Amino acid sequence: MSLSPQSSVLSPQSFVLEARGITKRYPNGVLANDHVDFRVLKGEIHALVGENGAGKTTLMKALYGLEQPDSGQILLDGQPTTIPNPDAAIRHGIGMVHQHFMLIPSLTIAENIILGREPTKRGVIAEDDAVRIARTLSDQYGLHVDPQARVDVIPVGERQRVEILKTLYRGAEILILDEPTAVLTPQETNDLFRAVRSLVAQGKTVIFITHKLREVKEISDNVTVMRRGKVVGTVRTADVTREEIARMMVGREVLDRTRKGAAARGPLVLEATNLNYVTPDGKRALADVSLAAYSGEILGIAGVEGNGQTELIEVLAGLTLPAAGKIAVNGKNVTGLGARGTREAGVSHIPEDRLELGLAADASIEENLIIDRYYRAPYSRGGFLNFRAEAENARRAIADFDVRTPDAKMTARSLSGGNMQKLVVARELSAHPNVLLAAQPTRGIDIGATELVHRQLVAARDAGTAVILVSADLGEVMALSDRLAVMYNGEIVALITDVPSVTEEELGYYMLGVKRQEAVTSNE
Amino acid sequence: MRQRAVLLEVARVVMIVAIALAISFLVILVVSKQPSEAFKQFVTGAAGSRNRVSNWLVQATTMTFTGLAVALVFQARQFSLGAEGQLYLGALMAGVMALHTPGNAVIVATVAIIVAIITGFLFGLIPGYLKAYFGANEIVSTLMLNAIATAVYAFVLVQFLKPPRAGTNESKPFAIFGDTNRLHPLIADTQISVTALLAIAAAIFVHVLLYRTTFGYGLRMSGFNLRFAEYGGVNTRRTVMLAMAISGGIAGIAGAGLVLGTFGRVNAAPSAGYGFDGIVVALLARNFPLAVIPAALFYSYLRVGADVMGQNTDVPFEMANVIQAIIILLITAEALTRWLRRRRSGEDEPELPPMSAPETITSTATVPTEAAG
Amino acid sequence: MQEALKAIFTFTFIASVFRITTPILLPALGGLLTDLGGSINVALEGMMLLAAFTGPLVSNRAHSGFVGMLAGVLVAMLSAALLAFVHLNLGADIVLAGLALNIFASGATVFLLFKILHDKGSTSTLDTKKLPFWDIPLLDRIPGVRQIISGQHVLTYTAFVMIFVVAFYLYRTKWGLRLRAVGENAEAAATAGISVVRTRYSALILSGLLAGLGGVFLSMGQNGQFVRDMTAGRGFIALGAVLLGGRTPYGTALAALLFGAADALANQLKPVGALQDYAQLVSVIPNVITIVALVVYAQRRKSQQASRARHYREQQALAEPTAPLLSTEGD
Repeated sequence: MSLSPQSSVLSPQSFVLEARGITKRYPNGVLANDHVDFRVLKGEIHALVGENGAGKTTLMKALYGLEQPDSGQILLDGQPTTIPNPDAAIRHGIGMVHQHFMLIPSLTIAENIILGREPTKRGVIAEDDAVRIARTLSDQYGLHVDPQARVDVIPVGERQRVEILKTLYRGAEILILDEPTAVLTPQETNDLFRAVRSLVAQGKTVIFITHKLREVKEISDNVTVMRRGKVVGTVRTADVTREEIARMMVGREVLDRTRKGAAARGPLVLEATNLNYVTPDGKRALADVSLAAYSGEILGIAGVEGNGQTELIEVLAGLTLPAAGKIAVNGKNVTGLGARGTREAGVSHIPEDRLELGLAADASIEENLIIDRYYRAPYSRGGFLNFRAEAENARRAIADFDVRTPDAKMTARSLSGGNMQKLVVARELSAHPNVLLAAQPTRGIDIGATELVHRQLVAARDAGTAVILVSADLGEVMALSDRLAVMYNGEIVALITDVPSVTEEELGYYMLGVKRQEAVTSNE
Repeated sequence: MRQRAVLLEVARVVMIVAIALAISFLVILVVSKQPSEAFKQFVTGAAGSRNRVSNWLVQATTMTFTGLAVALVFQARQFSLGAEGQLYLGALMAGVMALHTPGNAVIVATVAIIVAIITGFLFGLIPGYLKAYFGANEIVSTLMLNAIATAVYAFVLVQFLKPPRAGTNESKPFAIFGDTNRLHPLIADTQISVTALLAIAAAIFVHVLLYRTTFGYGLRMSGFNLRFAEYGGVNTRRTVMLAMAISGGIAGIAGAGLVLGTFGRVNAAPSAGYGFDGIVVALLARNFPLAVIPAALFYSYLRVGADVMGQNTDVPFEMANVIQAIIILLITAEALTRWLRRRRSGEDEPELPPMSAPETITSTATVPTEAAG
Repeated sequence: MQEALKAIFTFTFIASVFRITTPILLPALGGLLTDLGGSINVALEGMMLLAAFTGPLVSNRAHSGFVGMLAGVLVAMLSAALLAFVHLNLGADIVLAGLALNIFASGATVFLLFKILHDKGSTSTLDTKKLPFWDIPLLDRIPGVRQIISGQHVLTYTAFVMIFVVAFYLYRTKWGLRLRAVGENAEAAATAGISVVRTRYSALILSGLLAGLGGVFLSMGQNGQFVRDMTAGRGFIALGAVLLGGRTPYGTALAALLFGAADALANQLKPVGALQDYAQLVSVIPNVITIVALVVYAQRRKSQQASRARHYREQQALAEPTAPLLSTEGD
């Protein structure tokens, strides 16, 4: 079986939807879609897969009118069409079920379905009609819901069915489901699949975005694989194995490996035992996660985003209190010490979202560089700020980490994305931490800045820091890690001690939940 | 770069003030039979006599205090509107001290002012605590506390301070301060007292607190980006709470200054909205403490000018309220800022302290929970 | 004490509660609409004042109380539209813009009063029309009911009818549904094709209508004249009532009644010798309750979140044994 990137098995005559040469570059310079061609047959279930940042979401936003492509064409039933906004998409029969549900919790299911297009009698909502509409649609497509229940009390699976019913009520012929199973239990997933099949049986077309290859195999007729803004290929699902799809997703080429010497593993620095955490909206983000980080070693954590990495880092950084579990740094229990206590134990943190957490964009560069140390000598002298120490600190950081700015008194906002990240990295590494938590440290920054950050991470390791590196970029974690853990669904499902020997494919299986190691402990 | 940003801000404020004045002149033109006289009185009235200059500087003093109180909480991005109530209770407690503390005038005045500061501080601590630890919206809580403060003020005044069988609702004069019953004036035959110096000291204090101390650093970072401050290890709850309490203390001095320096007794209503004038002053000053003084001087100048105009011409002084409203609307209108910025596009320009309020009463904009147990 | 108790438990007292509640209830219902729509209206006070000012003056020129009322309400709605424009189109902060409107209203009413009547205090020199009190046929024959319910002011009846109108609007009409949706999750409402800006405009303007009615009651009810700053913080109290009432029409109405009762009680205490001095304190009891409610409300939200999380954990615990997603997946 051939998997040539250009292979297309679809016959041209009956495309219900076709995107030609879609290109989208965001203002920050990221080329999210690069001449993407995407075709969907009428009445099929078409899976769209790819890693985070592969460009799936951008493509779907273009189809749903949420983003305007820089170039390219969208055809519906062979007719060139422009889709300026979601309303237009709805009018053209395109419906989208977002990953984050767009429901009003205090309203009933029926009300959520009819919202915006209410059946009324002289302005008064015809509640009976609404319930009847909900019930009819629900029966017709096998999407069981209780129309009179309030959305905030129903389970996630039912909420999702409401989202689908909303699009059907608006006359959707093509449904885009954006990672619909990410929040579902296996039983709910089965129900969803049954409903999707029923939709297709009644003439609808479904575009199914997912990371989970088991589901691709189970549900889809054809699958399009994207990688780094480009379409790798579209194949008939029946013709390929899961492993082959995974290989297409991950790709063969690996980033230029950062030159690094062998790790000189020192003593145990950070030990986390049985960490558990449930998010405020009820998702079990961490399930008995244990890990150990050693001096002079980079412990990589790979995984598809949203599998607990964000929560793990926030718990380790002391920003979030775990529901259960213990964190020790150099043998001292730091659980519950909060951000400052954890930092004082020698834990630094490069957060995954620099603008949300890592910076005060409207404060000066100098001020941004002392948030972790302003209260200590020499920055504080009896509660007063020492401007000379602050300026000297900034001068050093700017020089050592090559932050490009004419003046350290300018705001952080005046910096480019790469330089903002360098600013964060400079602050965190200049604390000479025992442990460095680096979450997506090179996200959205240019190659030069990426290389600098990589070099600095390796240098910190060589200086004896225990580095914990979380990245959705498989190339990055593989190139940098001395040991590599894989997170899936809030758990560590694999620990690779001999990183050079592992293949991307194998990692992909762990990341996508296809495989797991038995009895994983990360302590060896 | 910085100077240029400051210049831009000054230009912006000047332009807004110019627009507001232009509108008020138009209004005067329409309603007045003697517009040129009204203009003249409005613009020069505050400087017209010793008495008016005194009045102007006394009002500026009060507005400096309330302006500083507002600027401080706004820098922490808290929408506390409690200055009015804190002022009332500060005035009340200062008055009680002035009536009952033994000792000479200097000691009594010192004690009275200190007690007013403590009172305002504690009264500001209430909404601060409720916001930081319970997430109770500070807009509503401070508005409610304002009503409570004025009620308590009236209650204590009538119940305990007013001499029996007195016709008006006010306390005995502060005999301790001699014939005038007021703080000794700095300049003869005026009411300009030591509180004017205290106002300057307060501005310097807030400036130093915000820009020179570690606490102020944490406060400003919490205002810029609360999550960033948390992440860096700032105790944001304590910071937010203390910001609101310190702000209350400063508003408390304003109250003390009014009863001790201006009225010479606890009167029925010491403030006619000085707490809300403080919002205008803080907005004009873009929340910079040192800029609060010129902003207060300018705004009180307009106020007194409007007063003079009201007394001597057919244009009532409430004109000043209309100007006040226009200034607030124009300064907060973001679209105007954007329009100004576009005119100088292509230049880097540091942002100034941001301002925004939670959108609804039940906004979830609370201080995030800290992990520290 | 006896005297005081006697004063309280009279039909007249109960009737006065309804009367005093009226100018709190009307703006509170307006505040409810804006709060549910997601844009807090701190300018209820100013809108009331503008209406209270306009009503009597226009009634004098038009020789009609009804026309005066319409004019007052219209001015309040226009000021609300202005606030909406400044906030929604010019991006001004709604709290500061609302405060500005209050300041404007307070100044402009006195300013115009002086320009028109050369009096800065009130419209007492002017012959203004009032709106009528109504006796309800049949009910006015039943003792008790007669004193309490019948013979109230037409706007008092309007206010209490408005509770049900607002409830109907919010929960039965499509506009109410959209309003609640926008307030709860503006992004989700927008994806359902609802204009967030237009919805908030309508909520603010309707709050102007209700606040305007409240303002007109003050100056064209039994008073029959406009007095400067006669709203005396009722617009802020109304916001407190919205919160205290748990952001529902009936809860808001009950809270407004509580505020009204506290005020009425304070009024009753004033002439009662030893107690008169406590009148001030009694009148702020609702403010204290509102602050407590604020805390309770915030805490309840937190615990609701926590219990949802707990609920989910339990479900997960039940589901886990039957969720062999990973173990069966190994190739």
